[in-house]
Amino acid sequence: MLWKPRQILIEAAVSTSPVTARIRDHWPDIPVRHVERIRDFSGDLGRSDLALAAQRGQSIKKCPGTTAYTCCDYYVLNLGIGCRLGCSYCFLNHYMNTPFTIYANTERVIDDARHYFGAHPARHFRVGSGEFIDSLDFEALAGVHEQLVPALSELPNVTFELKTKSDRVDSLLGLDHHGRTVISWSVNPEVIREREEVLTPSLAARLAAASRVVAAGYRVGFHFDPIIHFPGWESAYKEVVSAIFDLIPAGSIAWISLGALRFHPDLKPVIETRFPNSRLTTGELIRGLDGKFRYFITIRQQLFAQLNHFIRQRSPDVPIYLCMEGRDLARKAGVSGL
Amino acid sequence: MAISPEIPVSEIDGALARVERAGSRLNHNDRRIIGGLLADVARRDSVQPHEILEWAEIRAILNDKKRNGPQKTTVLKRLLRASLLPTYTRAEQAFTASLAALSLHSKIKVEHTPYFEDMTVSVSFTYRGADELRAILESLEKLEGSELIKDALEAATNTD
Repeated sequence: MLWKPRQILIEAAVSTSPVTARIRDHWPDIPVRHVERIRDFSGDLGRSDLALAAQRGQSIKKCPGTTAYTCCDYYVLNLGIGCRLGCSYCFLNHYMNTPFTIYANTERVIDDARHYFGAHPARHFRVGSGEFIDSLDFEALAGVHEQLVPALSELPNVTFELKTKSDRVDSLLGLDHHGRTVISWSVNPEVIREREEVLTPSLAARLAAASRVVAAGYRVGFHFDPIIHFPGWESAYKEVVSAIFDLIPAGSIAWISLGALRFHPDLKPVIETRFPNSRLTTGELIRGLDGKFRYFITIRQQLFAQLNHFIRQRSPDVPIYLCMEGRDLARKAGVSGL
Repeated sequence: MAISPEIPVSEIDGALARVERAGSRLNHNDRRIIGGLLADVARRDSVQPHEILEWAEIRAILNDKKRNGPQKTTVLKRLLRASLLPTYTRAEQAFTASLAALSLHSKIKVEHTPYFEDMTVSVSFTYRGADELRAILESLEKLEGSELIKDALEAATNTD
């Protein structure tokens, strides 16, 4: 791992947690500051710092989705906030002065999950840990999912999804997951990865990792999100679809989601300042019903319809759904949903 | 003015000065909007803002003796927006043309949602007296069977 924090702040409540011990063992030379609460720390803090904090709020939340568009009824496990991968389009780029924070009291999250999902045994839940962090990028270091995967796999009404761009899957391979954990990769053509996701593993590395977890009995998912409209997008995305199905058996794919580029208007100057090589803000972007920038509707329809077609050429029945779009558009693009 | 760092502010200011020399008196809001549009086009096309002002259509606007300053400002904004949103502009033009072809009663206002994000169309009107209401309702029947949004979006994608 290339990223190294400048300092590690540790809240008193998690000073003896296994996650904290593991991270300190990994970085014995990084200066450590012990604090009662991160929020009370008055010193200089930023993206180059790592905070190990206690989750005190709700660790399980309904996915916020976005107003005015259809939600896929997803739940989010909040394990921290921050990512060192630095993709140009990521909403986390808003949080310039927030340290990379990991909630190190994993047992609390497990208790919350047992209570929350156990209270509704007749309902099935899809819950993921990759909303505010990359699920796996820090896993080798923190080992959070080594606890979460076996624990959540005991809940028969929960499908637990780990969303990632990482290829670090070693720690997952021997875990008891009872077929209830899905490991999902966000995918894009290499030309987009090289320009907009510069610190992430290549598509080939991600797919090789996916192949390894499939061999370990996991189902996998793929998120074409954000789909970028650029000259040559059709053949580039077709290649990605081919690469996936050439390596991964369709029967092992739990779902594929499609989501076109969208971002809060405040992120536009951030992208243009921090990522001068990015071409994201030069697309035909309008303000959607939720106020976010997104491609004009006919462009989105073309993107979704074509991706759906490419996927259907390789698999007639793998579930495909749109992320944060309207039902009309899903119907016109021929995407049936989960 | 929120513009990209690779487009120097001095370049934007220089382009706005050129627009003003052509007779457009730009207030603060005009400067913000036109400056932003010029920056976005410049970034997309990898050119400097003054080069955009050399486009034939823009030169024609700036040099048009028949238009006054505010008219030039309005048309310039419209042209720059259309350049950034070509598909949307085609849809908007098709929608306006289809609506005009229906020759609805002049009191009827038909609108689509912002940027056609929703397939719904809103219709509103005001009237004075039963006769006018009757005429409006009769005219509204022309909307029956029309596919204003669908047709506009199809026209936008058919560029042949």
